[in-house]
Amino acid sequence: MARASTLHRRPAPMGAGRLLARVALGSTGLAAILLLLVYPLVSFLLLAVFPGLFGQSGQGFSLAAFAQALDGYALQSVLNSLAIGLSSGALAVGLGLYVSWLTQRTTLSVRRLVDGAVWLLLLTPSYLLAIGWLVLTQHGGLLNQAGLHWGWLEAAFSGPIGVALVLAVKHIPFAYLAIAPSWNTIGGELEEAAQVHGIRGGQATLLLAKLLLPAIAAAFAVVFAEALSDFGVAATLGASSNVPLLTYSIYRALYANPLNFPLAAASSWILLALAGIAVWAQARVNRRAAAYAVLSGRGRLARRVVLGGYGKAVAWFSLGLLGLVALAIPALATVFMSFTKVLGDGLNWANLGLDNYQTVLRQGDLLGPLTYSGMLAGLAATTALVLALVLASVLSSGSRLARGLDVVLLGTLALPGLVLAAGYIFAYNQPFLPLYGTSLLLGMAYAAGAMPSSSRILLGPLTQLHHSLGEAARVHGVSGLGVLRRITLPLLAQPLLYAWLLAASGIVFELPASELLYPPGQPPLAVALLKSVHNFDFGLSTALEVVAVAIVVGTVWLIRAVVTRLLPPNWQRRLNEQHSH
Amino acid sequence: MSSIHIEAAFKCFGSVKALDRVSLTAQPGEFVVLLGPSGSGKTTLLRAVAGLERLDGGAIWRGEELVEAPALGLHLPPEVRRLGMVFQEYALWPHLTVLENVALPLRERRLGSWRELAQEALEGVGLEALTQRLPHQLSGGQQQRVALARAIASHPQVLLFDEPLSNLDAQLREELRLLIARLTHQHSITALYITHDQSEAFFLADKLGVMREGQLLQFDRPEVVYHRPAHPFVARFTGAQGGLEAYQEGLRLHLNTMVVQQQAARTGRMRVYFRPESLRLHHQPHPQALLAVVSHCAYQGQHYQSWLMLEDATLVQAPSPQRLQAGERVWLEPHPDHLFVFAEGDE
Repeated sequence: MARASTLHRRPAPMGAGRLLARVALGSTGLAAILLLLVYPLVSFLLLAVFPGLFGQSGQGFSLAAFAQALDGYALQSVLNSLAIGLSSGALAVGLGLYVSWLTQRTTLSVRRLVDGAVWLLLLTPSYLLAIGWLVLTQHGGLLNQAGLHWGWLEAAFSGPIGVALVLAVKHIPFAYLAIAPSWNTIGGELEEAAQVHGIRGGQATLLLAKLLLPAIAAAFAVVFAEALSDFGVAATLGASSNVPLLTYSIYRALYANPLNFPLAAASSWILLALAGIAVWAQARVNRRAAAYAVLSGRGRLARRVVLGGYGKAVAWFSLGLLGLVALAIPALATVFMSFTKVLGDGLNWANLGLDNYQTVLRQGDLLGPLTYSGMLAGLAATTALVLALVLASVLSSGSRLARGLDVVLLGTLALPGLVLAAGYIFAYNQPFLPLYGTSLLLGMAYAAGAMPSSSRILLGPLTQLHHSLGEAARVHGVSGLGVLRRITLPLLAQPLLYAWLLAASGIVFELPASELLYPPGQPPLAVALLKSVHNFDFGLSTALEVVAVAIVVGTVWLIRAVVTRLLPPNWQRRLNEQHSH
Repeated sequence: MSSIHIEAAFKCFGSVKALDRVSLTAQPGEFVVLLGPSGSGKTTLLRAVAGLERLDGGAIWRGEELVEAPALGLHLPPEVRRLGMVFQEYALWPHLTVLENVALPLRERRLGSWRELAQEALEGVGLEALTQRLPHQLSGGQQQRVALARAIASHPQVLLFDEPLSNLDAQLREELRLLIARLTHQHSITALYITHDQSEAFFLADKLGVMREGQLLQFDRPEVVYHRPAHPFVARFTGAQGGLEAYQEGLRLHLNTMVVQQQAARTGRMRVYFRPESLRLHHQPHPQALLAVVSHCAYQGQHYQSWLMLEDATLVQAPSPQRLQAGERVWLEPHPDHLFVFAEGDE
């Protein structure tokens, strides 16, 4: 055969480089997952049944910690969390359903406004909302200052109702985002088919409601799990109003004397089990719903309800009220309190001024935490992003390792930050890993917390690159470096920037890991804020909060502006624009 | 002009044989189409030619140059194989304009005339007025035209097509397959095109291969594949119908009441296929015809198409000059020279 002579014409280039890169990526991703997530979590959770692990005082296998976790204060916290999780879940889902109906199925033009508010609420840490309500309603708070003594409101916010309300409004975005897309899928032709076939009134509503059920179940499960895992409200409103919640009881067990790791671990199991049941039930509903999923994407758009004058008035009023309760009241209360000179001197012009801001900006012990958190946030977000990029690359390859990592990452997305932080205290306070009490460990916890969500953000763009865009470049002769310079970097620049900004701004205000892991004498921002709230330094704490929010928002804006100016225009075109068409 | 020669290509994904010793040659300037259902291995073969997939065994030559030979540890990366490729999902770079998309591979090759070449390619596909648009501002058909322009801009000698028309509607498909045929012939490009659409395959192919479960069942001129399918699956996949039970004894084939003379002698149970257009319809009993009952009849413009139920419940189609009534009894006479007869075990 003539061709046989060409067999040895060209030396065989090794695929070894590519293989090596793949192995390096895979092992880096695996190591990150094992060290940052699996090891601390597993070792901590094992303590619930093996209290003697790593030289702890207990011995062998024991269920005593679970008995403790289902008794007294701990049991009360479980029951409270369950009741509050269920009620805030129901409230948030009801409100999310109503708001999403307004934006998706009526002619009311509020979509942009609602979307903006939803994202703002989603990004606002729950403890900031709680602090807002606290400074307003607490005895001696803003309302009292204004001469308003509304005992019922004070009573509500120093009990379970306030806790459930704040948790519900905080989590409306989850319900809204889970339900809103479904309104469109059940509309259009399905609705018309019901009409054409003579199904009317209540029967038609019931038919469509059944189709919405999976979205409602998903929304409820997410809100329930999130409310149950929340530490911000538990550590502020919950703690000050003597409504012990499960996350706070885990925190208490870790700060009890003597410190009770097994109890914290057993309570964490209960927390994970309750959240897990909700997610499992939702998955069941979804699986059943998937069996009759016939959505083709070619359906006609749903017809929108035209609201009359009265309907519009009701809609605007209800949305306004919701906006007030969810965002405006806590924000205004915070800002107002920050300008109040002396608590107790009443609400008058003479008692308003910039004194708190002067103190905050002058005192190192108040501004220090903000600088410290900002610095750690920058470093941890960068680390998280590098690891997320590695993980997303592994995930986009579709290998067996990728599928395994995907399961772990999805699991940790739903993992309460407090449980992970508790795991860090135990796992990294060992003679062979003495990192507890260092900034390094706090930074690691921050990075671990941000890593799963960042990797999901980067997964979409990376998968598309992996599957066709990069391949198209290589087939057409673009070199590896060319692909990186002309395709990969331009397409990833924007997702990377947003993922970093999201991670960093989240870390600055992060509470559970900060509270459990901060180095002695170096409190991060969230810890400093909560400390001054607990000391009733409302003026200083709110001023610090306003300064911190202003600096973070300003920094995000500045970075965006600078990057927008520096990046070439085609680096800023969004990847998903192609699909939005 | 350059040929593509594939010798005993072999590839496994876990326990699944994606390619089972496939061999074929696309001569210089020839348009080769591989037809097969999903999972037949055609995409894997195309990707192996592109260098996007590594073979486990066999070899691939581009002209006289060996580009893939696992036994020798040889795998030329895609970027040095000097190919063009049109992807099913277009794979246009969303951040680059139409002109930039077409020009990028040319600029990477440091061609001084990249702008002229890109413009020329875009004129070739009729998109010269949209050079500054971004991909998301184009329709699906326009996006695929850009992808085609990108693939031909550098005048590659070999062009690969990965089901490029499957995401488009019928009218656009027809328009674009004509454009593809015109451009590849105009530039004397050797093309390897995969599809699961038989009309597309017959329209474009100089040579047609039919694949199933990693095997190339037949590779020949489309006329030969159509008139002399080498395998029952090839017959079925290219539109033949029937699969009727028959028995052959020497040269005589017994099909129901019919006896048909065959050219090659053999004995045993057979399966018989035929094409709709080879059937003659009788309204009276006929000794060399099969009894059928009209199930449905539809007007098709030039003729009527009827769906007919045979005695063994096999449903077949046949054209008729006038409308038949449902329930009507007719007799179908297959043209004896156009019967595809396969031994029972050939499947």
